[in-house]
Formats: sequence, C-alpha cells, structure tokens
Amino acid sequence: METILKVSNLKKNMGGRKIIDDVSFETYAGEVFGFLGPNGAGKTTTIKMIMGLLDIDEGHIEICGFDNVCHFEKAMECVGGIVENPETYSYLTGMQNLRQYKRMRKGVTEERLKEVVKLVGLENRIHEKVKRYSLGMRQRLGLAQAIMHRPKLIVMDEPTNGLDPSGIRELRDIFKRLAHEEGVSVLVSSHLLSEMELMCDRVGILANGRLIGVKPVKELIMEAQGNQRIVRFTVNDIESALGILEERKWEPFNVTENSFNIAIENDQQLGSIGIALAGADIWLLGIERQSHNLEDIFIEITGGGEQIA
Amino acid sequence: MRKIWNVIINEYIKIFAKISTKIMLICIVLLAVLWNVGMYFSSRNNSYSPESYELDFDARISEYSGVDETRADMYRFMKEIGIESLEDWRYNAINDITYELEDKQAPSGQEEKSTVSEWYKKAIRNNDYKEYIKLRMKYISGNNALTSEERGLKLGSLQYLLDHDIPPSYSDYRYQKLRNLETNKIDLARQEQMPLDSQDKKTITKLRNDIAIDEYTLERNIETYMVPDDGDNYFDMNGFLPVFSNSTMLIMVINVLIIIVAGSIISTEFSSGTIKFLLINPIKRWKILVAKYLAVLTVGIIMLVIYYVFNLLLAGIFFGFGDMGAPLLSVVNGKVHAGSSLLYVAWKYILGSLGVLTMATFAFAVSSLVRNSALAIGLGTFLLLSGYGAVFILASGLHWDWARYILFANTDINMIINNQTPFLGHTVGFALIVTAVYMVVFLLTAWDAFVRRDVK
Repeated sequence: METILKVSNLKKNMGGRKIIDDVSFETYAGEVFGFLGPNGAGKTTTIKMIMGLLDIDEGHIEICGFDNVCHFEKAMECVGGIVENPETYSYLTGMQNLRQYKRMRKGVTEERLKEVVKLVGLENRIHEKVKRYSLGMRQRLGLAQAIMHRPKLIVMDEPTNGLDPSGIRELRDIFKRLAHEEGVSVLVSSHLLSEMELMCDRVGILANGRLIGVKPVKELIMEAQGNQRIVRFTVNDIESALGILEERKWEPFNVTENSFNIAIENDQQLGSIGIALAGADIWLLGIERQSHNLEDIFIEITGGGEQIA
Repeated sequence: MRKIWNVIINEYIKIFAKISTKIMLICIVLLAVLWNVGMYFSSRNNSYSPESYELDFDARISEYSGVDETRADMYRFMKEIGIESLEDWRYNAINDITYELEDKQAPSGQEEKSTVSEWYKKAIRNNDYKEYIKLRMKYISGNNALTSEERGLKLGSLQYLLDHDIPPSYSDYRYQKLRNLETNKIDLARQEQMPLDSQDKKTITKLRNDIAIDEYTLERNIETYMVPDDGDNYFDMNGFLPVFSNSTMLIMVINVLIIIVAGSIISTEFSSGTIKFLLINPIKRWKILVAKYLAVLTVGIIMLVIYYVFNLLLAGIFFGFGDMGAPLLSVVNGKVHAGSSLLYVAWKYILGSLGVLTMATFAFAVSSLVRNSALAIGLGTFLLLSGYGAVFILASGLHWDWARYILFANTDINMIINNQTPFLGHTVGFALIVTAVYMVVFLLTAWDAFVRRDVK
C-alpha cells in the first residue's frame, strides 16, 4: 500500500500546554481514515499542522513524500481539504469562489470545475452569491474546492456538519468512491462516531493530544466484542442480586430498579452469573447482549464517559 | 511569478466585487466633481466685475460732484464719449491721465496741464491709441519726477505697444505683462539699491524669476502657461491649469480610501475564516503577502489615475480644454525652461501618492499584525488625520527638532518642495530616506506577522 500521509512524532505546545504529544500515523492510498476524538483532543490542531496552517514544534509531516515545511508547495499540491468550517467569500458567487482556488492550483480546467460542481450537486445554484447558501450548500462548495485539483490526500475536518441525512449519505458515497475507486487517501475527522463507523476503513483515536490507537474499524469492533461484552440482566429482586455480585466481585453498572449491565469476558463468566443468581432464588427475567458500537469503544478507550459523568 | 500574478488577480476580483469598493470609486469621481464645481463657482464669484458699478456714470457723477470735481469730470468725460466696457482702452487711459494730471508735478515743464489734457482728450475722442501713446511718451520723457531708469522702462514698454499695435487695455495680456514688467523691474532696482544686508534674497529671486518669465512669454506670444508651485500661489488663479493642478490638495481623501482597502485586505481573510482556505494552496505565504501588497498599491494607483483623469476632464469641461497644451515655465539659474503642464500635474500626483503609499503600507502592516480590520483602518485614519498636526505642534510649539524624524513630517513631499514645513533645512532627500526607513519597518512587521505566525 502506498503511503500518502506520514505523520511522525508530532508535537505542539500552546500556552505552555502540550496540545499534541508525540502523534505518529500513516494513511494510505485507497482508504478512508477516520480521526476520532472528543472536542479538544487535538484533531483540528493536527489537521492544521498537516495543512501548514500551524507551525510544527517537533516531528515531521510528509505528504506524498514531501516534507510539508521544507517542500511546502510540492506537498500542498497533493492535498485538498476543509479546515473547520467551510468558509467562503460571501459576496462572490459559488463559481467565482471556486475560480479563486482554480487560479491558485495546477491543472484545473473549466470542464473540471463543471464536473466537480455536478459531483457535489450544486449545478443549479452555483452562479448565486454564496451569502444565500445554506450551511450544507457551503459544505458542498467546500468539498468541490477540496477535490477540484484531484489531490492524492483529502483532509476533511468535521465534513458532515450542517448536512442533512441524505447529504451525509451522499458525502459518504463520494468519499468511499474517491478512496476505493480513484485511490485517494481520505482523512476525516469527526465526533459523529456512528457516521465514522459507516465511512471509515481505519480509525485513529485521539485523546488529550495522544494517539491511543490506530486500527481497522472492523477489527476494533470485533476485538471489543471478543474481549468484553456487555450483557443486561433483568431480575425480580435487584437488591439480593447486587449482594451476590458484590460477594463475587463482579461490577455491575447502569443499575436500575430491576436491571443492571455487566461487562463479561467470556461465556463461562456469563454462565457463572446465571447459576449464582438462580442458586440464590432470584428470577432471571431477561438476559440480553447489548449491541456494541464504535461509540462505546470510543468512550471506553478515551474515558470520555467518566469525564462527562 | 505566475503564482503571485494569479493571486493578484484573485485579490482584484475580491476587492472590486465588494460593494464598498464600488462606493469608494464613486466617491472619488464625486470628489473630482465637487472640486471642479466648487472651483468653478468660486471663480465666478471672485471674478465678480465692478462693471455695473463703474460704468453707471450718472451714479458716479452724482457721487463725486461737489466732493471730488476732478473725478466727477472724469466720469462726465467717459459718459460723453460713451465707454461701454472696462476693457475699452480708453477707460484705462482716462483713469491714467486723470491720476497723472492730479499729480503735483508739472506735466512737462512747458505746457500747461489743461493743454496736455486737451491733447489727450482729443486722442481719446478720436479713439486713436497710437496718438495717445505718443503723447504719453512725450509726457514721460519730460517728467523729471521719475528716475532715468523708470523713464527708460516706461518709454520702452510704450514703444513696444506702438511697435506691436497693442492697445493699452488690460484685455490684452501683453499690456498686462508690460505693466507687470515695469513694476517688477522698478521694484527690483529699488531692492538692489538697498545695502546688501537689508536685501531680501527671496523677494529678489522671485522678482527676477517673474521678470524672466514675463519677458520669455512676451517674446514668444505665450498667453497661458503655468509656473511650478512656490507655496503661495494656491487659489491665486482660476482656469484650467490652476484648478487641475491644485486638485492634488484633496489627495488626502484618497489616502483615507486606500487605508480602508489596505487595512482590510489581510484582516478580513482572518475575520471571515477564509484565510484557512487561502493558505492551504500550493503557494508560499510570502508570495500571497507580496501579491496582496502589490494589489493594494495598484488599487491605490488606480484610484489616483481615476481622480487624475476625472479632474482633467472636468477641469476641461468647466474651464475649457484650450489651456491643456500650455507650457510649464520654470526658471533655473536665470534661464527659462519650458515643459509640459500636464506632466507637471501628473508629477504632483506622483509626489502626492508617496503619502498614499506610506499610509497604505502602514495600514497593511497593522492589518497583518493585529488581524483586525477596524483597528487597522481606525489607527491608519487617526494617524493620517492627526499625524501632521501633532508634528506641527511638536515642531512649532515645543521646538522639538527631532520631530522631523516622525513619519508624518516627511510624507507630504509637495509641502516640503514648497518649503511649508516647520523644520529648517528639511530636504526632499531627507524626507524620502526617513519615509523609506519607516516603510521597511512596516513591511518587515507585516512579513513577520503573516509568514511566521500560526493561523488559529
């Protein structure tokens, strides 16, 4: 697999605080890479360093083999993207906005502009002033801006912001097609994790400026399901049940007046809990496995749940 | 270079797509209209002619009869021969002889005043200015009250009138010039006779230059021409050239407009967030900065050109295009040099644009440094409006000579050329060097802030 983006040992301090602390990862041609993390984890800061908007304190970023500090122009020829919100010159039309970027990039023709406008579905409104665009339309315009010069790396910061469900679906399809059919490397950051689960091939999870792990989405979910499963027990006598759990040092959570969740490691443990409860004359009214998604894993890994609580 | 050029085109599109820029351009055109209309009406008021008053002979006669019989007689005579215009040579002639015959000195020694007066009147009645001039010459050559130089001068100019068939009327510019020459030469002679230490060098130079130009134009029959500003000829004259030339006084307004453009060109990218989309293109930041700076400068030049062209057209419409080809006459070491007036005004615009350039650079630097349009524009305009006043107070009120190193003491080159600065020995070269140093500081500040700082 061809490495498109290579981030090595990236560090950034702001106001005496480590915003990014030793982050390294790679993205490859033909994949959608998800960059996940709660607000303030350093997603946007990392993206801004990749796009050359922020100075790099330590470490290197290579895009298509070009260091983005020493060979800024060469590196930036390979990138397109949106950083934070899709900002536009509101007094220009959509097309005039796109032409601004066309002039600053290599090899973009008028035909190509028409093509990308059609691709993002703006052909009916492209000659209107951008000040009359909705956020979703500006997001589409930003996408057209990002892909017009056929970059090898597309970096999108929170791209689903302001899009309606069908827009999100279209965007997902566009990213997947670009990656899987045209061999582009797409880096997407988001906190909408369910969305990432559907869109990304691999995810990197960022918390407090550190990259906690990079894994294929499927592997991450399977791993989590393999090691730890959450099972919900519904019982008739919650107090006795909790007493037995305490005796055996099993830790329930999400306790209600007749149910509790418990994280189990294997089937044997599930069996033991059932026998223990039944042995104490407690009726098992229900045992159901909780569906486990990226969101749970994410909260488990980053400890986001604890922070919120 | 191609990249910088493309960014400049982008900047132009952004600048000229904005409504505010369109309004600014309209303001510049309105400014030119205002200047020319204003000067046109003020010229009509200034040249208010006393014709109706002076030519109302019955009223004048009743005013003077019994008070000043000589003057009353004069008006009676004018009424008798039927003078209808102040430009009639006889109007001047009658005034002149009345004044001269009132003089205590005997007119010529031999003839009685009344006889001389009759001869004059006869010539005037016959509308024969040559005869009148001859009589004047005869009278002057016998007038011992005049010095021999004065006599020579007066006779010389009268002879010139005779030789060139010029009636002694102020409606003929040559007559005006001859009279000017006479008085200037007499003044000059008087100045030169004074002891050296009480001579006024400036006045003497000015008299000599005026004489040189008058002689030059008389010799070549040049009626309209322009002389370089010397600091005190603002508003002296009306007509195409002075109005067009003095339109440079309002370049200050263009200064404010260019501050608005320069003060927002970087900071609006930050306030709208578009800077993040501008800087992720494969163009180094310094190239974008240079392109933006060049865009500001050229927009400034465009504004000045628009102002220049509209002033040229409007001055032509209001005052006539006839004087457009008039020469610029300047005196260097006693010799008169002829140049182009239009080019001279263009040069004044260029000198005026140095101030525009400096303030644009200042606002540009502030815009890059603080990334806030309002602050950049406000600070730029405030310093522009108060800067020179502050320098003037420091220099003239507090006598702080170092104030000459303040930027605003040096930005108005036209003023320094005209010797209107409060500092002694303030030269254009000095001003240019000081301004250049400030510009370098401003540009380095803009550079450092734009190229090196993070975009958060």
